[in-house]
Amino acid sequence: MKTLQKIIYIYPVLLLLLTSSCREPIFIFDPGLPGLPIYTQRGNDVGGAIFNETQIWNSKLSANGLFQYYDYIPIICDTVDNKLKIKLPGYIINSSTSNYNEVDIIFEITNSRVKSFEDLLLLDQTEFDLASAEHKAYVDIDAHDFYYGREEDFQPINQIGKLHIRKLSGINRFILAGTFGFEYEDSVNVKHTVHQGRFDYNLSDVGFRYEEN
Amino acid sequence: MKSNLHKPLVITILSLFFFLSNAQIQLSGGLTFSKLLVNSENLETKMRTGYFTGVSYRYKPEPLKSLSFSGGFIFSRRKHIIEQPFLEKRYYGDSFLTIPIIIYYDITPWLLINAGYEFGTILESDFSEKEYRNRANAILFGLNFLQNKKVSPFIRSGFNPSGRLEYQTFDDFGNKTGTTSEFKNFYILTGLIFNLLQ
Repeated sequence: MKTLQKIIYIYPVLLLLLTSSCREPIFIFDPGLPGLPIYTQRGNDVGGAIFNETQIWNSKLSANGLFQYYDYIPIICDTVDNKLKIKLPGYIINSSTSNYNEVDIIFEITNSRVKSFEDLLLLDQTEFDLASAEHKAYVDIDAHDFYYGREEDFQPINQIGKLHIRKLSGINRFILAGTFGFEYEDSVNVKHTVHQGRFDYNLSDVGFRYEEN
Repeated sequence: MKSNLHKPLVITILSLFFFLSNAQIQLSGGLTFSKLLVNSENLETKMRTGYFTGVSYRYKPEPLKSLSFSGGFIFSRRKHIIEQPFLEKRYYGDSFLTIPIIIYYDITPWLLINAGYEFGTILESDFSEKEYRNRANAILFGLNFLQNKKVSPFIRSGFNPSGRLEYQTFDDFGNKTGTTSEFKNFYILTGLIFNLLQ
């Protein structure tokens, strides 16, 4: 009888966990730029941008964590240097080979107010000028591991651009939505452009970690 | 306020037509050709064929020799094609229930020009995401032939100037530039009207 009771109690919890982890991204294509999703702010778990004028970058976020490396947006909070590092995992399709190349977009912003996951809500309706020395954005073409074995501190040269966090709100699970665009030169003076960026994600504290100084 | 008012108003007008002694009851059916209009260099939309069926009643007031009015219900299945480089060719379909209110003018005894407006709702759609709006209302324009025969052909077009997908636009650096709407409903109905009572 107790076993039956356990099953009765556990089954709905398991079902809830299974169904909640099967949330699929909702991609509503932009009629003007059909490879990109329209800008939404309801947690559609999609993102897109135009990379180097010709290539489409799309978010790789998938709720099915068994087969994708990330099913959340990874964020690293450095409470000592007041830095916040946000990674948007994604890919670009190689038009000649039709292969998916992993390409991540990284934002590193300076903010002294965010010390915990809950503090992220303070970034709602915030604009970051990426021409400022305090903030930077770049693409990680080799898609390095974000938390471990990171590459050397990358410094974009002559960077201009904006990151607009247009919505960051919620209870327990936040919605992070915004737009962005930036240009910079890398260490060998090759210019990179990321234009028409937009994203709309669910944010969970699973992806939030502290910098190990 | 406006949306709260228009449904009772339409039902009242239709009821008045129904109880008028010289109203003509009509059944109709035929094909729909519909297209979602989009203003994009990267996207192409094409017409597909669907179908419709409906019931209506037409009223011709005695003092107005060349004018007549009709109201009724139309169920239509409208289909569309959207083609673009990244999504390839995709097929979409919608089911509409609409109430067209139409004014007819007799150009000759066998040719009528008509115009009107229809209210309605989308019963079912492949555009299931909530970002797509329920745009079923339309401005109508058409031609009817052989009005005094038991079976008379007609053709009518409908257009809604508001797009079904409303979204914000941004410049290259993510600054908001405005709001736009795309996928405007345009369709053509063509078929036969069966005049049951006259």
